[in-house]
Amino acid sequence: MNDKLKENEIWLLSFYRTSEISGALFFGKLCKSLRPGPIQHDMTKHFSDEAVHSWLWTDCIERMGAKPLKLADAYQDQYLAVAGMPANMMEILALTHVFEKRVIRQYALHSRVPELNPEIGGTLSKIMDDEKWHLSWVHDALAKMEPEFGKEYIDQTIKKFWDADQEVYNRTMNEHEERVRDLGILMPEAHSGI
Amino acid sequence: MNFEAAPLKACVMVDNTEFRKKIASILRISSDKVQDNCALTDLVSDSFALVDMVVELQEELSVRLTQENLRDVRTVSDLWAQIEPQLKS
Repeated sequence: MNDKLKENEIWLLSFYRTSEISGALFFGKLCKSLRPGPIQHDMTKHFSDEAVHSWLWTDCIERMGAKPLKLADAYQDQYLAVAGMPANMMEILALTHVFEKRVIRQYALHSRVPELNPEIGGTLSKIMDDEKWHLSWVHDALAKMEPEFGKEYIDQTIKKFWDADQEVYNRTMNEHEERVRDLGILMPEAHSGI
Repeated sequence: MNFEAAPLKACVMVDNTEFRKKIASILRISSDKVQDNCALTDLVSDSFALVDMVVELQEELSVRLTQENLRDVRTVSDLWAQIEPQLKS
């Protein structure tokens, strides 16, 4: 692997790492505010998973003989600017549902890169199982909120965040197009659903 | 918020002064810093901290806000204006 390719790869893994750290910190803080119950239970596992994932990426980068890059912003930092601030737990979970789908899709795309470094492939594989569970518990929690908020309103909220995610994703990919293309991670079509 | 069991608990009765004290307590800052005309974004380190504060406030006061409620909220008094009617209901 040439130096530029390796540099791009370390940047992307550092981007993943930063995103996992942001997720862990956000949900960790939120868990302190919640009353005991199923959401607090599952969200506590969720944030502990995200913290472990940030460790897995840190370890993966170091096993590749590099150091993680210190990146200012995580992917999800851009959500609030585009989609507005979620104000209650349903809205937070709707946003999380969209984000987790995006993460799974991105990790799946990355795992299909030809001649993928086994360190990266192994890390992606470990993380993907957790990410599927994240999607599952959030989906179930939103379903339980239907009597209170209404299915239609929840679906509308998810759709609104989906549209925002598409904008953030396109913007991120455009900004880092060269890096991602060099790594062989094919960009999904601009307006495909997730 | 534990939404599984649906209805919110009865609202907690607080006045504007207590409301500002709650914000200060959640953010762990001096209550002197939380004035009615303060921009909420000036009280927190980042947007996610603001989300966290708003959710915790709803927990403490047993009220509910939506994105729509927060659309034009900029200051502490704007936020109080959205919450106060729910405390009276």
